[in-house]
Amino acid sequence: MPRSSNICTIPERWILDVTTILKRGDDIHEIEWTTRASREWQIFGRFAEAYAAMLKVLIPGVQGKKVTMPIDEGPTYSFFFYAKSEQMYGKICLRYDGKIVIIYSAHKAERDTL
Amino acid sequence: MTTSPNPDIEMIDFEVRIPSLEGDEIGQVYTIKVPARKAADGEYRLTGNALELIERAHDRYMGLMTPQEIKKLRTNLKFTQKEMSELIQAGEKSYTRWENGKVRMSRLVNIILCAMRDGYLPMTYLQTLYKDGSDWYQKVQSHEAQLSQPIITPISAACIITTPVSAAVAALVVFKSDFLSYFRSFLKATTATLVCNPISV
Repeated sequence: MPRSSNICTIPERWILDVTTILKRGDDIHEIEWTTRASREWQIFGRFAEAYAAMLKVLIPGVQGKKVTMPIDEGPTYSFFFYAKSEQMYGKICLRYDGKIVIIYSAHKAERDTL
Repeated sequence: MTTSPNPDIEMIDFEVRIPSLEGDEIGQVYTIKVPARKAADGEYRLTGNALELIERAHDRYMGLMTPQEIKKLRTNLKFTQKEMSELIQAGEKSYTRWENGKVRMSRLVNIILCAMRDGYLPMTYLQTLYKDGSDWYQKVQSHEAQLSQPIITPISAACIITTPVSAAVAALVVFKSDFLSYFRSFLKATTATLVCNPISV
């Protein structure tokens, strides 16, 4: 992965909390999608397919980019994942309460850098 | 925009984008209402109920059998998931994911399952394509016996076909006009913009 500024190893604690929620996958209150992210992902498959694809890359040591959102709801990282033989761009926030994951982005990667 | 009983939740318009047959472009767009919560940043957030509505709309507009319908087809046939996956020569994990709604099946697999459901693809024919299915052979026989006269008699040449994709093609060849009529009606019902031209076989 070409490097850009703010590229870092995503903290293991964040990965553990996020993947625990993504694995459950169907809890009504634990995963929120922005309308934009859901509109972009829907063409690729079911929402659970996004969770499964993200879980494959969200393992300790994975590189990502810390992202600052206009309204800070919790630590947010962008990363690449793969679905339908395509490199996809994902951006996920783990809310400060640690109970809710917000999916800001899940779409085909437009660039090779995060 | 209307308001639902929960004051935090609003019903908003959501564009359901149906992929083209190639799968890489948007073929059609439909607008449905989904429940959403307005977040602090002013954006709407969708959760389980909304996501389920979107997926159901996708299934409906793409003409896909829903996970519930897939399961109903299998249980009506008294097959296990493993047996069903062998019958259509798909991986057991793939079949289970379609039935659980974890993965959206392809339109081609959907056509095969719809044809089975509607009696246009006799299981005895599918069975001839899968040589190792002896453990569920009796189930196929007993089920076929309960059905009305099978519409088409399989031909032995079709036995060399080994994949679902080629099985569908073989079905087109073997079943000729019956299957083509069904296939045309299927396309007509699900994709209004498509025209199924006559095919010579």
